[in-house]
This record gives sequence, C-alpha cells and structure tokens, in this order.
Amino acid sequence: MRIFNSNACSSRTGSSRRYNKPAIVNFDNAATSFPKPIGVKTAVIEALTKYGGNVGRGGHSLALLTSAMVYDARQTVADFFGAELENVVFTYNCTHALNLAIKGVVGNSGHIIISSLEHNSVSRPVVALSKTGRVKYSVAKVYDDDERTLQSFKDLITNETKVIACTIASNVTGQILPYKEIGEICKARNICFIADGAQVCGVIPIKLSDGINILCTAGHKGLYGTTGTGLLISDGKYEISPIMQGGSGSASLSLEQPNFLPDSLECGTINIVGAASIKAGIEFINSITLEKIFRHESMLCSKFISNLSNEVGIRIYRSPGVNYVPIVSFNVDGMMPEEVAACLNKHGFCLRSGFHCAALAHQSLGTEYGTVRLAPSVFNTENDIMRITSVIKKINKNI
Amino acid sequence: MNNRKSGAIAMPSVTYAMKAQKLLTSKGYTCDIQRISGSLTKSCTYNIYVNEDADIVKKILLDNHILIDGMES
Repeated sequence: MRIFNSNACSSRTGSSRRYNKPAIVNFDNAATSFPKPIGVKTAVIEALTKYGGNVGRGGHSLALLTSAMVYDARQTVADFFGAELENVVFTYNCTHALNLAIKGVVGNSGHIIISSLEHNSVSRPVVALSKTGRVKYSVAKVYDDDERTLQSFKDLITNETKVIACTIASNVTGQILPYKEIGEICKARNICFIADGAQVCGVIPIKLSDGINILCTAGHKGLYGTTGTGLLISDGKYEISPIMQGGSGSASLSLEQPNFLPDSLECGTINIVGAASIKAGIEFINSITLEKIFRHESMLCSKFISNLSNEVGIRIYRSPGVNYVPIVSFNVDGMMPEEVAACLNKHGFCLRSGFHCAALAHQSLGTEYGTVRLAPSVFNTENDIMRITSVIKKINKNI
Repeated sequence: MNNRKSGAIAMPSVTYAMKAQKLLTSKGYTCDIQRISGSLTKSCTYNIYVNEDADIVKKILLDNHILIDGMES
C-alpha cells in the first residue's frame, strides 16, 4: 500500500481553487437514483396533498380516489413488465420482495440454486433458510462465457431443486447473466425462476415473458421512484405463501391471510406515496425510452473506461465479450477503495466503495478490499465523466 | 345506484373491483363500485353494480380471469 499524498484529494487544486464546495455529482445510482425526475417530485407532492386515503380500506371518496391512483400505478408496472396487474405486489424494497418470493416459494424444504454474483438480498435469505436443515442450496459459478455459466447451473440441478434465484446483472460489475436461458432451463424442469432485477429494471427491457416466474426489483433505483419502494411481480404460476400476515382490506372477518394476490403479500398499508412515485418514474422512462437510457448510460461507462484505459495502476473489472449494464467497478493500485471514494467525494463525486452488500460477488472477483463503483443514471453527462476521470488520474499519479 | 339492472357482484378486493370496472366500462357497461360490509361474503369487500344481467356479467369476468367472491340476485 503506497503512502498517499492527501493533496491529491483536495478539491482546491487548479481551476477549482475558487470552489469551497464542489457541486455534487451522483455516481451511486446503483444504490439509489438521484436526482429524481421532476415528474416524480410532482407525483409525490400530489400524493401527499391529494391521495390521503388508504387503499382498499373504505368506501369514502378519499379511499376510492387513492385506490384508483394505486390501481393505475399497478397497471403501469404491469404494462412495463408484461404482467397481470393483480400479480404486481408493492413491497418496501427489492430485498423485501426477494424474501417474500424465495421463502414463499421454497417453504420448509427443497433445494435452491443461486449464482456466484449474488447480492446479499438473495444469498442471506437462502442461507437463513438453509439453517433450518431442510433447505439446501448450491452456488453456480458465473463465467465470462455464458455457456459455461449455464452449464454450471445445469450441473447443480437435482430432483429437489425448487428454485433458481439469481440476479439478472451483478450490482458490483454490471455483468448480465444469461437470464433468458436460465428461464428456459427452469421452464423445462418445472423450477421456479426468481430474478433479482434491481440493477436492470429501468435500464434494459425486462418482461416476465423472458422466462421469469417472479421478478423482484427496487422502485427507487432505475425506476426513479422514492426510497422505501420495491416490487414483486409474479406470472402466477407458483404459489407464494405469505411470510407475514395482517390487514389487507379484504376478507376482514377471516383470521387467515387472503390467498389471492396482491392482498396475500401486501400486509398493512402499502407505501402509497411510493406507488405514485414508481408510476411517475416509469412514465419518465417511457417518455425517454429504455433504449436511449441504456445507450446514454453505457456511453458514459465506455467513456469512463476509455479515458482510464491507458492509466497504469487503475484496474477496471470488465472482460471482453461480456454484456454489462452501465456499472463499472474499479480500483486504484495501492489505495483502499474507501480512500479513492473519499478523495472523489472531496471533488463532489459520490461513488460507493467497499463490498456493495455482495459477499459472493467479491469472493468471485477476488477483491479482498472491495472496489469503487461508478453507476451513472440518465442525468449524468459526458462532462461529469471527463471531470471524474481527470480527478482519478490525479489520484492515481498521487498529485 | 344508477342504471342498476343486476344484483350485486362481490369482488375479493378493491383491485379486482377496479379491474372489473375497467373491463366492463370498456365493453360499454355502466359499472359502479361500492364498499360493503357483512353482506355476501360476511366480510368487508367491494361490490360492483352493472347495468346488465348478473349472470352475463359473471361470465364476462370469469372469461377474463377476474376473481369474484359471490353474487346477489
């Protein structure tokens, strides 16, 4: 580990000497997107000022008005992912959705396969289930070659395999798994495919018809909704037993949870403001188109990589021939990821460093101290990339 | 309730009631939603009222995979 010259961290160098506080540029959109579109802000204010009832909890005007808005939000999500609207469940985040799906389908016994690039939101619920002793799990290694990856999944399937739960794209490197082919494998063997779409929804087109039985995602990342929002979207093929029980606004005299979606999985009041924000976020995405969003963010990542490609001492975790969503992990030789991120923060750039809640992914990468992750959104610009790569070069040269 | 021709059809939840309403409205029917407690299903639920014979409405809903809880003639 080389001794770091703290001057390189200063935002008071060169032409930025006049700045006391550099403007914040968010490159941590894989954690949560910021800024939010104007339409989302408007929707949130409208929800707080207009939709003051509870969903499905009354017959008065406010309750019905709010229920209608949430219905529209549900329909917007359903159309976006090719689902039936009653199979769209509003959750509190992607982790919540994944817990509902994995535990609700697997129950008390069976075998689960996950990938070697999982976020803890998949691996931890699976490991927790395995502690019961009747649930077993295996980890399929992800390679640069999709065929090898698919073979590693196939090799692990047993007669007991109930679920393959895996990310569509790694939150660390952005590598896209061959999820459609994994869906085909699952369909052929009657295995439930639960997909973690946290890093792809709102970035690439994802439909249940891609072979996904249950799609889980965040509402506050690529979909541009507010924090505290997530989605579970089912094709209805596999029963998801609720792991929580409570009020649903339906079948109120029954002491058992309703057995139909979405009520079976929506216990207690949902995040109504959040539902409004997701609707507005998807409308924003549709107004631009997924294709343009993906192209723009990928272009930013390509510029980032090409600007740093000749820099000795900077390692970028990408491989040729692999498909990626717009996420780039990198390290600067001789520096801890946190040091790099702290330096960038002093220049106004917000990037997440460390292990990104993805133990398995970092084990696979062999990144003992983690990485620094660049995750642009549609709001980042080429100028942002030019500026951040200039700063990284200075950090790398320790000047 | 205006245009009421059928009895009530009880829906499992507000989501299904609104889905039924959208479908039936798209087919030219008038469909109203009302919150009901303790009637058909002995529970809180939402009934829909349509200006059409209840059996026909029921068939339309079931043909479109929309769950219902019960009917009141």
